[in-house]
Amino acid sequence: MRSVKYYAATSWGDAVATLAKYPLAKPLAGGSDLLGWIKDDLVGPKEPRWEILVDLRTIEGASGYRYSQGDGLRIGALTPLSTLETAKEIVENYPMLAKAFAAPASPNIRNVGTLGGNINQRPRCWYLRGPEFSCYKKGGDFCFAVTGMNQYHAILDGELCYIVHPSDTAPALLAFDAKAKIVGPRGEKTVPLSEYFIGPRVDVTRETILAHDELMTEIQVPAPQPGVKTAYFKATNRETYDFAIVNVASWLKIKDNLVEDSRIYLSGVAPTPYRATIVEQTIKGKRIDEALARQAADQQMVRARPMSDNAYKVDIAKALIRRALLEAN
Amino acid sequence: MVHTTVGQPVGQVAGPLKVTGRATYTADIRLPNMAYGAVVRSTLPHARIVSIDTSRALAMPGVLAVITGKDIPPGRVGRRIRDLPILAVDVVRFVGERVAAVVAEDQATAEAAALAVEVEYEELPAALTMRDALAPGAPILHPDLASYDGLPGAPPQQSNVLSRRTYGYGDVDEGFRQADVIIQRRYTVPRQHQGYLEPHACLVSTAPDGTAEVWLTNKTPFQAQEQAAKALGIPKEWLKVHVTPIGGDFGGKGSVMDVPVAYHLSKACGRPVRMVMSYVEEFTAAASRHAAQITMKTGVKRDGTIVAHQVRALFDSGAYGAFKPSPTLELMGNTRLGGAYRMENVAVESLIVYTNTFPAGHMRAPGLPQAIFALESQLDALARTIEMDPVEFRRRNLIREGEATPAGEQWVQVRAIETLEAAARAAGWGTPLPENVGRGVAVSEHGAGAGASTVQAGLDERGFYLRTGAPDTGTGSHTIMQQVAAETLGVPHHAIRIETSHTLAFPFDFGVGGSRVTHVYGRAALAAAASLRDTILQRAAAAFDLPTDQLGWEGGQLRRPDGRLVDPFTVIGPVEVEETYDSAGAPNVTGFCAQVAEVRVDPETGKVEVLRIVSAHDTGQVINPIGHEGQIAGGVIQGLGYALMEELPVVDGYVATQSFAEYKIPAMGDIPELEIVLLPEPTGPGPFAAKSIGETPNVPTAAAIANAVEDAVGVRIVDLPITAEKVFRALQRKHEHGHHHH
Ligand SMILES: Cc1cc2nc3c(=O)[nH]c(=O)nc-3n(C[C@H](O)[C@H](O)[C@H](O)COP(=O)(O)OP(=O)(O)OC[C@H]3O[C@@H](n4cnc5c(N)ncnc54)[C@H](O)[C@@H]3O)c2cc1C
Ligand code: SF4
Repeated sequence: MRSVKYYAATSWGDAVATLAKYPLAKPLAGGSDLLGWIKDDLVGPKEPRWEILVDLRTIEGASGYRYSQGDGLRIGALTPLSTLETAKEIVENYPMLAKAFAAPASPNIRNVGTLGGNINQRPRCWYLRGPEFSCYKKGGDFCFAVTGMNQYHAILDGELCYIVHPSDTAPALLAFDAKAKIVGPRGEKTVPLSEYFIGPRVDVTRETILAHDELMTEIQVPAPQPGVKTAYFKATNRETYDFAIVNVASWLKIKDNLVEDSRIYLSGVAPTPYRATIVEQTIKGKRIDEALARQAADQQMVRARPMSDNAYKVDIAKALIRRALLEAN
Repeated sequence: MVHTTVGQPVGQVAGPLKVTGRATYTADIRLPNMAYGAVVRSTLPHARIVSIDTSRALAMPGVLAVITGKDIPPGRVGRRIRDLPILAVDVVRFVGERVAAVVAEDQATAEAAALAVEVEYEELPAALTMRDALAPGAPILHPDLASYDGLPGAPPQQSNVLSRRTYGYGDVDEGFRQADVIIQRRYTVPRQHQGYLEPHACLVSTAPDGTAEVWLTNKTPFQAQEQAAKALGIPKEWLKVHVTPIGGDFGGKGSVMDVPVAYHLSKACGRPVRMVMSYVEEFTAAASRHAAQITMKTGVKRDGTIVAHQVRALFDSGAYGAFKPSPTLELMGNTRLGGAYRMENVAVESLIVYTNTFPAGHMRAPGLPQAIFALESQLDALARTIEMDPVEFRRRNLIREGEATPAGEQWVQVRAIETLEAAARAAGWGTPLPENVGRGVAVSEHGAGAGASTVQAGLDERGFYLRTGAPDTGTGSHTIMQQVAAETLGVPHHAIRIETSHTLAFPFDFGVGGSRVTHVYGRAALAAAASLRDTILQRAAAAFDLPTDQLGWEGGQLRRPDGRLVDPFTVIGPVEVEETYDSAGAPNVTGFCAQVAEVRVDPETGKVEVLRIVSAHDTGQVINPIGHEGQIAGGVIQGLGYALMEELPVVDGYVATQSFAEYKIPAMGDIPELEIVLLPEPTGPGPFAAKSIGETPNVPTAAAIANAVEDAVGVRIVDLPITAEKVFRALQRKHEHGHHHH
């Protein structure tokens, strides 16, 4: 690995200022994604060779979580996933979130990998991850997935670039309507997570709204509500240590056996976490049974535009949507 | 026979050193004034090199030298055929080929400088697949093939075929006419990486006179010495190659990799040069298992008789044949394309084909997992088609003592059917299973290894020792030698020290490979230990002035006629003997392995979960149960990875899986329950009737799993790996066909 400079940030303001000053500086959390990226020397016309790592773990108070019945859950972006998957308040009040925090990779990666890092990790498209492929996302002029093997690529919303969103935690947090706190040179702001991710249409070289010198500081999850049923499923090729072929997180508010409100998100299928709005509309006000679950999943996937090798993902997505609806029932 | 040390579960000689991080692997060695090398690699699959500009790299602070193919004497590397240039000259033939090299004060600078070397290419048409390479008018990768050193047989005509072999007997067309059922299928298997923990590394320290000291990760240091010397055009005595501990080999560590480059870099800067391959380099430019396409057409009668078997197998060599050691450049799996089955008419053709992709090499049982996946899938499909139980079908057709295999091999002590039955029994073959759960069986075998090796045994002031020229690749081979010698000398295994020797101080040693270690080194260690004991007894008898038969040997000590035990060293001082064992006269045996896999398939996602694997073996005497079980468990896991997830796909000439996140090997959660069954009454040519185990357990697993998937949900996957999406698609097609019938 080539050498890079290391800077231990002392505060969020310090980190932001350092990033603002150095265009080749990059925030570092657990490093489980970023260090591999640098080691494999993934660079391109719009993907610079990072020279300075700004460590966020050294910022006081950046890690840890708080829970209260009124306010819900607040999680520092630098909190390791392994802390969250076993946290008593999370397991008891948001069991589906605890499942999602335990879903990525392997225990050792979750020990170092942080929630902020998981949400902000770069996609896993194997061309993107191969040093020789200069594709759109690195600023090149080609998408290798279109003509090459694409069994793990997007079936929905792909355009120019067909990555799938890699994060297991994002769809679960989105299903809970979480918010992200962001700090930048102009101060702090809070945005719904549903406005946080951007697709290739907006900017093919980025996956979030964050500017170079902006950072995610905290995730806020609303307090749990009565009558809510949740479910989380992840389909992989390998039992552990594997990215999702498809995953589904569902949040259903049920009243008198009828669906009053719902949020259903998928990852592994589109460049951003994908909201299954057609499913939500189809089940609204209805009682979920096998037939409705099937109808909702099928209607959602009419939207799918699979590539040459990944049509199977459409059916896997349907199967997982059905399972999520029926389990939450 | 009752043994005291042989058959005991003893820990590995170097185990404590390895688990505490104190073992000195090649990459751990630091020499004073050492410099660091890095390689500039081709970014195109086939191209003419127009120019190489090294000026920016040379100008970087800390850079000591930059070399290209034009700066060094021309030289090609290879284990048999020498077709791989040390550094490309004029032409590159795969993405990842070495084009230039840099040496610098530290690793980071070397890597940064390698990036600063600018190469201008003129792209040439490439043959990226075997189909492209064999098509009429295909670009010829090696127009000068006939002039290469090490090419066996007559020079081939201008084509991309590196080697071709045919065998068979009878008349397959006549056989197919007699068949009740004929199945023809094409099986494809991907490249597989060995996945060892330790990447290839080397350290080369040249002297002004051109001699050099070499450390490298290589299981055959004496052959590496010859390979490197030939490539460099120097006498092999100029290279002192050390035997180093190997952090996993699985067949992949038989080539010299960066050694010739490091030699030239060391000469260029006058300092020792260390080079360690990154795992990206491992996945894109090391010596992975050959991808293959195997077409089989097989005819059977309703009673299960195999009347005709026709095979065309294509193995993808990549751009070079340099990593294949066999004198014929074949893979040994070629000879198993009909397995160990009785077949009335056979016609096999197999080709090794050059393509513009990274060169393939040897991996654990070269060619066998490919051949056996195809064969055992094919036989299973036939059995199901004639509605015969797959175990019964195999029982009827496996060869018995006195019969030869389709490739003409004949063994003694053939225990194929006993091994199959042992596996079926342990697996509860025939008992009912829940829905979507299935069982599959597959059979393979591997010989007990062959060749000659020398081992020295001695006694000095520190005690007994053995000296070998072979490294322990992590399999526990040194422990086996220790145990065998300990048994012979009547001492505990830890009372014997293991020493290794470098290439200038020890007779030529063939090294590790072909499952020969337990047999050949074991027998050599046994002979050396026996000779040491006899020599000590003779010399001690002379010293005591006693007839030899008046002296006893007990627990490594001398027993005098008065009953007193005496330490032999105090009587005769240091002593050393040397023995060579040659397997030439040994009986020709093989060791069978039958596996039964039990899988559950999720019909909604296609995901295959392996629930249980039974692996039955006729290994002969187990010398070390820990090592033996480790070989089986590890082999089954490697076979499971091959079956379900491992592949190095090449897209437009580029490898798509360049890290362990993309290249998936089984993780803990994927590993099923394993039950090992060993046949009683050991027979074998090795020490204490041992056979081999290393290259057997990884071979039948993929076919057993594929067969179990068909048993579970009725779909047959003929392309490895059997991923969820392939099973899912096959299930979909099956349902669509079902609808059409209505
Ligand atoms: C082999 C492997 C398998 C994996 N499998 C899965 C999986 O199945 N599912 C899954 O969801 N994930 C998976 N991951 C990803 C893993 O979860 C992430 O690597 C990890 O969560 C990232 O956390 P980190 O703290 O190490 O991030 P880092 O590697 O430090 O950072 C990741 C990226 O996010 C940026 N970043 C980090 N923190 C912030 C912040 N607070 N604000 C703004 N930007 C920030 C960094 O600049 C960097 O670009 C896998 C990773 C590996 C290596
Ligand atoms: S899918 Fe996106 S990241 Fe992958 S090759 Fe295409 S442009 Fe690059």
